Amino acid sequence: MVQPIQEQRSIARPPTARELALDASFKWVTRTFAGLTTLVVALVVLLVAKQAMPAMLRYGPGFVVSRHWDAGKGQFGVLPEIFGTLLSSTIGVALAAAFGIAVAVFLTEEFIPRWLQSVLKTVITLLAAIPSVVYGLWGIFVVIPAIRPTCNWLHGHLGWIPLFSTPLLSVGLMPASIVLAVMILPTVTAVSRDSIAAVDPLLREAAFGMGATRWETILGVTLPTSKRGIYGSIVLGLGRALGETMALAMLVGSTNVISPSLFSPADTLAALLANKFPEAASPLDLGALMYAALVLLVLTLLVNMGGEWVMRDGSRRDTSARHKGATK
Amino acid sequence: MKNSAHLLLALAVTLLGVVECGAPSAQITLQGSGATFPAPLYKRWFLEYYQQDHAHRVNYSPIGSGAGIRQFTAGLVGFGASDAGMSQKEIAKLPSAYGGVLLLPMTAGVIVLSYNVPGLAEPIRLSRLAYIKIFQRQITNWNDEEIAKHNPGLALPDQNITVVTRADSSGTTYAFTLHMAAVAKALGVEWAPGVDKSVAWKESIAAQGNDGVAALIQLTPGAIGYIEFGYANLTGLPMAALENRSHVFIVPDANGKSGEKALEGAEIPEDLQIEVPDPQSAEAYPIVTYTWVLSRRHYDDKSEADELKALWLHCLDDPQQRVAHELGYVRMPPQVVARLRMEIQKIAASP
Amino acid sequence: MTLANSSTAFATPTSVGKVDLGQLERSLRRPRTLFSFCMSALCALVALLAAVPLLSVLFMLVWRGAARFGPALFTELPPAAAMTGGGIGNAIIGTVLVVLVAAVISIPVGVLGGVYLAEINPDGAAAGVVRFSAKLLTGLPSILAGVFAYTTVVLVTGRFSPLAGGIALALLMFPIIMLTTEQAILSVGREISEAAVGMGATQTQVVYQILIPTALPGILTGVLLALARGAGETAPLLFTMTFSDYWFSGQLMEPTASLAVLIFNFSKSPFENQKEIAWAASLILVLIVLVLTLGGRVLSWRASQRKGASV
Repeated sequence: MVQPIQEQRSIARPPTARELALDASFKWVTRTFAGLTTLVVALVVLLVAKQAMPAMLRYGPGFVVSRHWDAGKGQFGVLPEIFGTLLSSTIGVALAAAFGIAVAVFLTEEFIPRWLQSVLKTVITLLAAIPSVVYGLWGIFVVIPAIRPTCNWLHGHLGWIPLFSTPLLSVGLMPASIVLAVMILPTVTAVSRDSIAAVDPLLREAAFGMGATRWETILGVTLPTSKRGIYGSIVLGLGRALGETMALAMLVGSTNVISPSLFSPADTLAALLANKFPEAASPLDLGALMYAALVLLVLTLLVNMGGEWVMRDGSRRDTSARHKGATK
Repeated sequence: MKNSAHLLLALAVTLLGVVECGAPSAQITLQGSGATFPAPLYKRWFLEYYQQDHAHRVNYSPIGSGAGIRQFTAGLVGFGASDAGMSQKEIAKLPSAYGGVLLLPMTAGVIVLSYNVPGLAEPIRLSRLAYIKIFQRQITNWNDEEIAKHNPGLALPDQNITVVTRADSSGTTYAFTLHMAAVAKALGVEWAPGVDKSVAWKESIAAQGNDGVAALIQLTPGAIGYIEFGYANLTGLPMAALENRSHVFIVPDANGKSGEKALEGAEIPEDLQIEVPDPQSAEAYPIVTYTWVLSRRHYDDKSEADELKALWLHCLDDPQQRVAHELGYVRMPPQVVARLRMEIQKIAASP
Repeated sequence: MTLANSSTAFATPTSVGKVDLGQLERSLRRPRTLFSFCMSALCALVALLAAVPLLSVLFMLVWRGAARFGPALFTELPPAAAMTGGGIGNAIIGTVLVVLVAAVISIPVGVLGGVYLAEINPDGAAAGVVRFSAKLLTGLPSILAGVFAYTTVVLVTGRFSPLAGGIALALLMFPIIMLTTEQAILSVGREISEAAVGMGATQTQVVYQILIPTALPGILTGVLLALARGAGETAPLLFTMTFSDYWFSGQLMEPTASLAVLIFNFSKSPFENQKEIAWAASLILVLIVLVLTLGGRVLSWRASQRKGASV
């Protein structure tokens, strides 16, 4: 039974002046820390841009389309790196999407008991925890030997197709893309899964009621409804893939070349930075690298922004227990 | 759940305590960085120096000659290391507080051409023309005429040659290209990539450091690359027999004799930046380079100056030179060592 | 009640309303059913294949790295050229140290920032910008975090240090903590905090005495995930903390060892001994990271259990 308020030993009382002062200052602290986030983003962009200035002024937009990198002669161009970054990320995302959506579907239909679903989900999540350098080692010691016979068979028999026009020697675009796919699989799976799980069960029931088979429902109703979230997951995965450094530095070949072949070595912006940063001496060398870093930064920012934009409505629909039924 | 927070906090404090206590009080650690070529040797020397006396802590980061010079100039490390010495331009950029730089040749080594062509009974013999052309992609297959004619007993495969080079700025690249340019000049052909710590190679795959290149050659059938002898020796990579100036094919050997012959009689300039682009002797292995420690003339901290002086003199002692030989580096001629001892004495505290 | 689903087989009643279930048929000879069955099989195969990489990585590490496990691995320094034995003691301490530095920076910023997003001003325009920035930062290439810390800390202080390394890692860690904290706090029910406000609590008191304690499992999950990320990063440490071959000397402003950089350096070494150490270090690093990640998942699972029970 609730006692009348006046009879309770009262801990209820209006806040004291001291408590109000603490309240105000605490709120300012949280505002500052939150604001730090945006400040940091701005700082990173400004810092990179500032150091890239000498190179940007000297080489202009030609930097982005030139293929030649010769520090000794002062010639810089990152087209091969842009090409490598985009190609490896695209292949990686394509593979991750294929597997990720399949896993997401698998986890949202009642194929396996709950506990097994949980195990599979955990296994996929743990993939995200493995350090990049360990993935590099895995790529060198497991992936490359595993795919080499197949790739060289493709090259041997179908070498007239530009995609297979070089043999897989060791490091190259293909092993790098495969490892990249494994690295971003957790992102794609998690976001897709949430999106598919959020589809109204009544829609599924309606489809079954009309006589659709399970897969007719999945392909005709569930996936199209969760389309936005799935696209979002793909874009977010792409954002991660673009910025991946260590694994690609170890696997992609660090070669300044643009080749249509999937098995050719290549280079990426992040790997270029990792390799050449310690030794850039003059402001111009450093400027060229920072110019490359700026290109990378802009690319990742644009892609992440795109992913957020696609996902935007999805996140608003988050069940927010605290604000349900509030002002809206 | 408050318990978990308390637990975590306690754990953090304990760890901090352990970390602080596990360490002796304020130790001075000397920092150096640079070439990967002598890195195994330097790190071995320094670790053994530490094991003799825990007060001697000297760190070395193998990041490539170019990066080492940059960090040395920026004052991020107390000493640098470079297989390419320092150019006049680089020396000019040093802060005046350094009082100038001392280039101390600590050891020398031989650069070999390692390859990955399984099933051959003997090392491949490469003529001067052959290896000049291979690295300029004018010869692209292992069974090319120029290679085959010097290797009558070997069944060379019909396989593409993959050239492996350095992705980072490297003194090894400098020494290698220096030799290539000299040979090209002697042969009257072009050497397009030029001579520098970082050059533009035509169609190659690249890796970081001598170790990275060795690893990449091992991974890639048909590959050939230039690395320091020790890396090839330890990874079991085959090394090509190269034609020297006197038209003799020399196999790099663990004894180091062919390297010593190459260094013999080379002129010793004032600043000790001895270069041997194309050795004279008939028994000389053709590609050889010294490797230098870059030291300031003046250190602000007297104890740092004394420590470093003692360190470099220690490295010239017999046990350390024996280790160098054991790891496959080349003994320096006694005249160079004598000059070096005098040069080391010039390290001093800032006046 | 769910209508019969094509591949779930639980006890069904024999009729539903006017429909005699015995008359419903499902034959694999029908093309539509066959298609659905084959797709299910394909889907299952692909999904299980997705579990293979993790097992492959773990197997590779155990196979190559477990042989070096022993007291020496944890108590000795890394070996130099052509030396036998050796261990990774200083690297383990170094990793703990730099992650600690990063945690000290990123946890307050992350948690309090998350509080701002969830509680102080959740619907403001500023919050939208901050949230967006945090999400952008989670996608920041790790090399750029290293470059940032190099330019702002290493060049300014004139030395490599775990401080610079910690700042680089913090940059990558605090957005994770911030966003997870926001979600955790958002999922605490309104009723309790409204009751507290009714009793005269300020928003600060609500945060400290109700929201954070209640949301703690979720916050800790985020912290553990961030720690796992920090422990595993290599690129940010390469130019900010470099490496040290000796035990941590108590100097926070000196190059220090770390597992990630040791693995990177030794993996390319020509010396078999050093390569073996790289594998053992990889196994240890992955174990640390897996324990942290699993710990986070267990925490959030237990929290959801408790929430389920109390409702």
